[in-house]
Amino acid sequence: MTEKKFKKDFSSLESIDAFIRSFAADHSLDDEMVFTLNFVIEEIFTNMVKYQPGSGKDMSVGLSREDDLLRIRLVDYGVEYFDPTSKPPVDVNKPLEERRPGGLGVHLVKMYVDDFRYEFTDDNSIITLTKKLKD
Amino acid sequence: MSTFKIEHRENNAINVLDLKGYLDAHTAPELEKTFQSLIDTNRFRIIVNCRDLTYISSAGLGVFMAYIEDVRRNQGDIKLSNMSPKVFNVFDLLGFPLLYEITPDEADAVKKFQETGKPPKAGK
Repeated sequence: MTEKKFKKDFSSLESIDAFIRSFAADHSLDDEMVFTLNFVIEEIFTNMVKYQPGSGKDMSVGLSREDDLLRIRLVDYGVEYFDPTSKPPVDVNKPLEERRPGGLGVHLVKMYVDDFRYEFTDDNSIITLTKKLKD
Repeated sequence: MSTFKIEHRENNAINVLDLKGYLDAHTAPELEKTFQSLIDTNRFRIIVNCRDLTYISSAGLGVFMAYIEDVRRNQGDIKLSNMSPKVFNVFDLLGFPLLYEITPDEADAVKKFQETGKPPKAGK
């Protein structure tokens, strides 16, 4: 797995994009996949910044490709248990006045990936996403 | 890479925002500020032209959700145009095409504003 650490701040999104692009170039991933990777990683990353800002430690993003499977792993170090996979789904047919902005990101991540897992060990939150590549 | 730019112009007395680049959690506050300044100066007829918008995340979608009710309460609207399929897909996955007017071209959005903005014809 290719891994890199980033400061837990929204300003890291630019360098995360550069990391994704470099991985995509090395693993022959197209623009659409770069978009998807940016999207799902940003949503998880943003959750970590918003809901667990206080750890003061960098978090890490890891990417690997095994044949048609892409694996994405984000680790938030020294934090409390926070499982985004357990959030209820968003009702996309609700009218505007009943909608609230929260939870949209996680809902979208679930639609973009094939598997979304949460683990919590030694005060570290680990999110693993799996995405099947089209051939 | 992750740059974002907003340009504001007018088309037939409608405020057009041209978005360029990445609308993410980092850049979303810029769009918030722009919407807020339009609202503060009573400009409620807004078209967001997404032709050069290459990326949007839920933080970006949240900005549209945050201002639409305010704008509509003032007889205005935020209409979106010229979206790439990738960007449209994000809106579509959340059912946004039911909530927002999304047109293929800016001209269509202008037309929609002109149709709804006209007073009803006499004799009807």
